[in-house]
Amino acid sequence: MKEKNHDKLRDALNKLPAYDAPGSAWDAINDGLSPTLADQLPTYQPAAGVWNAISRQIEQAELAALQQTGAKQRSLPWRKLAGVAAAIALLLTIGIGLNGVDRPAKVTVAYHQEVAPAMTIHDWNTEEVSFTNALAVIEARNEPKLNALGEELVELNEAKEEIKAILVAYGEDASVIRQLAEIERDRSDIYRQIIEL
Amino acid sequence: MRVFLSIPFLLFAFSPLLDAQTSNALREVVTKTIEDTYTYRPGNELAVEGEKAEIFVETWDKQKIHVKVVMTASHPKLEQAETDLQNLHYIAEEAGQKIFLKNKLKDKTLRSQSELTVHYYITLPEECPVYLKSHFGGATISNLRNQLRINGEFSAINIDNVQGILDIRSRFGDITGERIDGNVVINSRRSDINLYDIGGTFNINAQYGELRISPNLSMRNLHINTDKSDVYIYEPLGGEGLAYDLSLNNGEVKLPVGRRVIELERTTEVRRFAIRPSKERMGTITASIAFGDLYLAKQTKELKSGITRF
Amino acid sequence: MTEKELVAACRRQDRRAQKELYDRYSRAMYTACYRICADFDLANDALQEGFLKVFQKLDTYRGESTIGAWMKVVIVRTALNKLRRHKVTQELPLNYADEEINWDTTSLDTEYLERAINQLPDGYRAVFVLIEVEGYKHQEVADMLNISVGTSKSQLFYAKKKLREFLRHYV
Repeated sequence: MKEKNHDKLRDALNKLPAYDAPGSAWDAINDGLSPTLADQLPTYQPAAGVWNAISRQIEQAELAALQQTGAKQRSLPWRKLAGVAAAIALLLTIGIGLNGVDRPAKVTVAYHQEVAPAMTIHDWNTEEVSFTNALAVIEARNEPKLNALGEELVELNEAKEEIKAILVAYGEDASVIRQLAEIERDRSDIYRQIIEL
Repeated sequence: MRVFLSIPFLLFAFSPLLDAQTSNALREVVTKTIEDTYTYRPGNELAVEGEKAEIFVETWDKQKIHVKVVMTASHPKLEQAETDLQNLHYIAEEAGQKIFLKNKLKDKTLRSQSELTVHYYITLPEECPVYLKSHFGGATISNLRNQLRINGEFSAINIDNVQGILDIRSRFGDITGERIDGNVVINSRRSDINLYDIGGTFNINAQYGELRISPNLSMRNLHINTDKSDVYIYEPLGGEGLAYDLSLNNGEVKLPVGRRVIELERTTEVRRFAIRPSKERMGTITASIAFGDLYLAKQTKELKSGITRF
Repeated sequence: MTEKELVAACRRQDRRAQKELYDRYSRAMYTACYRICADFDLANDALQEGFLKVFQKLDTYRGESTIGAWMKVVIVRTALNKLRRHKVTQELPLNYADEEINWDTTSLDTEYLERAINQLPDGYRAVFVLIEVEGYKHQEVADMLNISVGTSKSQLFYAKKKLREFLRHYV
């Protein structure tokens, strides 16, 4: 078979549109997946009296608010009108200032449980004395090749401190610990080169 | 005597297990999601500054920028997770035509007992310029067509199907790119670079990394300058039109069998040579490598453009 | 999350990770299903069944290809199963060596092209989409459709010939 101008077909195929699956597709997949631990744990209904108590508190709060508003309305109607005018002015100002924001950001909070990963052993400071000694020797000998290795070691030491700071600030993350392990391997490599010289 | 000596030994031998959790222990995860949409107008630019954040940037054909930020805190105790989550702060600001997104810790001195994560999911028009600054975490960018600037530290950078002007700086963060075309500058240190199916003009400066580069037939100019890095260049099938000017200082070179070179300089430390194209010149690759080795080989698969294969 | 971590989390039945994997790949997979089935409802079914198979079979993924490529094979096979008459029951004559197809004089407007692809008989369309759109090789297509490489090649030829004929109507 001979095919001419296949690149024309290629160009046209590259322009074919892509499609998004309907939103319900994931729901159907989700339903078909094995239930999560949360799904398998029992759920519990609170006692009926709990809602009654909450409901009473809400009603009392609403009543108190209504009484306050009513009193204000009776005594100072002009103040309410001024308040409404000020609110409209503020909203207009925000509307002009919020250049391009279509609607307020949506914030949601969710809770679930997961199996905790195994804890790591903090053994990355056990050899620090060796590295400190190595740097001291490099400084004492003051030779170009050793100095170059010393510079590399200092850079890696600083990187290690940065990683440790992130672990403290953001908690233990497997990917960050892997980064630390890589730095440690590089440091060990430099150390071996230093002691060979 | 023997009994007394063995007990401390046993304690020492099994001490790692004293810290270990049982494999079935659960932890509470609190997730806070913030979603926002901005109207995109030509001239807008998006700047994201992530700290310990995974940033995903994708494109769509709507004239809007959609941002979803997911922040989580995980700890065996729910109250602790909620407390630690409150220390994560997300800021979104607009100044002129720039949209700035940023996350940081409210109190940097606070030691988190929970594992904290931040993820950005951003969808925007392909022509929107993007600037990412990432300190720990990662950035994955696809399908942009204009301008992309990345400044990463300890962040893995993944770029797929991006065209235009790219400026990437990385320290301790590997760079992986596929299907990149345009005017690209990469400066990296302590980072490996893997670039596949790339074309246009590339200027790569790297130190202490391993570079694997597979240009395609649209590569016009690839310039590599490295120090203490090994470089692997994989020539595309049909790439006989590429010319090479290669220089090594204290490094070895491995070439495909039978490849003819023109020696320009050769001493015990320095070797400089050229490879002339065997057909009409279509591009030039120059490499200057110090204290590292160069491997030149042929790609084994033909690169096809436009196919949505992963 | 890196892909490796994502796959590991999906294997642990982490629902967030499974949703993340779905979000990353659903568009490309749905589009591929639609191209094969030429029907949005069938594509939707194929996508759902395909992803369920992916999550059920994830332990068999050994990292020999990217996770996206591995998933695509699973989901594309599911889409192919949805086609009612995709199975080729007879070998077509292979004497097309002297025939020629020229795309130069054809209107390759995107909308017409998509319509024309959808009009192809199921078997032709499947081979055409897998080779020309999804980039698979004839051997891979032959394995997926349980046909010979020769049949895959001739099916592709006849698909292109038919496509060419359809598109002539839109010139």
